[in-house]
Amino acid sequence: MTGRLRRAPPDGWVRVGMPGHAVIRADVALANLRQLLEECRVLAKGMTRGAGFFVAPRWVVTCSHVAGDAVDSQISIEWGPHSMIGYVRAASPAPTNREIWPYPDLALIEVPDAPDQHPCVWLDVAPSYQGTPLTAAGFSDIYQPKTMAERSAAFTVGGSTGIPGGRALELLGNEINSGLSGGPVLNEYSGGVCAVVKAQRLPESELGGVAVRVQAMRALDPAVYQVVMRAHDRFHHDDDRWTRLSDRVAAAAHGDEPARSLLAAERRRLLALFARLPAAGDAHRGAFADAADTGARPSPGLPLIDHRDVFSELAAQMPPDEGSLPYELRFAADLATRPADRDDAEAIRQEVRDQVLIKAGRMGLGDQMRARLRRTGENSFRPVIVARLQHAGHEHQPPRTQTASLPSDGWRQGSRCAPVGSFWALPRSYLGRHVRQGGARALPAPSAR
Amino acid sequence: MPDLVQLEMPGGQTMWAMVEGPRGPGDVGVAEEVREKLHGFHETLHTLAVNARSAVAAAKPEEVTVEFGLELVVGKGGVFAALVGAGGTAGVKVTLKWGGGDDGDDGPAQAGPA
Repeated sequence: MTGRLRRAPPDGWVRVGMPGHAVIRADVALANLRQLLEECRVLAKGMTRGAGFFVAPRWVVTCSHVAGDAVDSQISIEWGPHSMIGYVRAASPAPTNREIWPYPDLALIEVPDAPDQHPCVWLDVAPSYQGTPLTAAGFSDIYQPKTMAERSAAFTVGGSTGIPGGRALELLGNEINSGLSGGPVLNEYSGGVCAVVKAQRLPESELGGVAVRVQAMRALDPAVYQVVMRAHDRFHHDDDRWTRLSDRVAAAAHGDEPARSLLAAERRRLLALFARLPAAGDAHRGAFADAADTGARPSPGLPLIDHRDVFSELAAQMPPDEGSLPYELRFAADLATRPADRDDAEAIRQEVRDQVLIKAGRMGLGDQMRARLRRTGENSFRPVIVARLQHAGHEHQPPRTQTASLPSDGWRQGSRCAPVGSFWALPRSYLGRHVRQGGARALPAPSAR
Repeated sequence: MPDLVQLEMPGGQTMWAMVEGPRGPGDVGVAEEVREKLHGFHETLHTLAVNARSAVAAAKPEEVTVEFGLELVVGKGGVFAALVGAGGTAGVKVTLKWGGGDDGDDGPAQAGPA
């Protein structure tokens, strides 16, 4: 992570983020995240009764076999004391007989009257590996017949298995009871919801069952999927209730993130920007190929519907060699230099350009990023160099002669300006804010290079 | 574990029955209690009666008794009347009777299980 500890925290404790953030126990963060998972859960009553969860403001994900597959039909959604009408906006079709519902068995429900303050889960579309600890949230009528009592249960990833129409994630080590369908499955290593509970292996047994990975939503109506996922990405940029916990949980599981990869917060920032860009129609597969090396390929059987899908699929590939731009950062740079068809899109692309420059600079890959930006959009790329910085807290030092870049989440602290050699582009917007807050003062701009 | 299910008989009447639930994988939404249609009840009875009678027709019995068990199980497409016997294996007991004793053998003859 970007934060640097002056001394290592004791075992079982973790600090994520910048100096000054509280050091907390990792298990406390995980317990809070499990609690938040349950706060995102809803009771869905459609074709059957089961669980669902808020994935974006006023949007719920559940199973098709819970909601039913009739688009625009109404179902009942209960969240705490609130009882609301949900509208099935996308759902995968029913089976032709009584076998389990075919893949993906997912439905997207719009709940227009959902309270404003409800939380949403963060979706983790990265692969989940065998042995990963999971928590599923749903309902059960085992101890209270005819009552849907809240239940959460621990599982581990067993592997994946074929179901009619696709593949599902195997959940091992606990009973999957009736009423757990549609419930979110939390990956306790990543801190994101990676799957939706679907089926049991055997009734009244601890053989577990299967869940459908969340990226299978890409098999639903593309227009609805796009609306929901863009709302999801914007929500988590503006509301950190989930991510401030998930970042800590992930840090406890994985330790510091590699300096040459994008940080979780950086990925979210880019996804939120992508969610404001115009859709690219059917150009996503080409964009994937442009950014990836030979041999990389997206998940089979699922379309690339929006920019976030390309970005996420690229992030899931085997990383390029040390010293090369991460594939997903290449893609972001390519997006930034595409001609904008609207004035507001140009402003967003400019911000994406700023972001990729900052991130590449942090990784020590500023030269490569500048070359990438010039390769894909030489005519439209305008460096936004505006000044050199001398940090206010280091006035005893001689003025820096190099331009500085600010880490994406570090400028607020006003303490982490660092020279980055030949990387000289600095976002105007960041500089302005930083200077206004007194964290730095502008020096005369360097001569043009 | 068997579940109590309301069955709709082929003739349109309804009845309650304990029906064995699916023993394999299944989706885990909680289903409302619904009236299930019973499939295969008429067909099973008819098939067994006709085949038992034709199988022993050459022996010209005066009376034919056929005993068998039906279990109601949930299968693909609904609830089915399935042939079953003691120990879970399907069995049919056929008893033949002759009244005249012309050939000196007036005891019952049994065939089965089928």
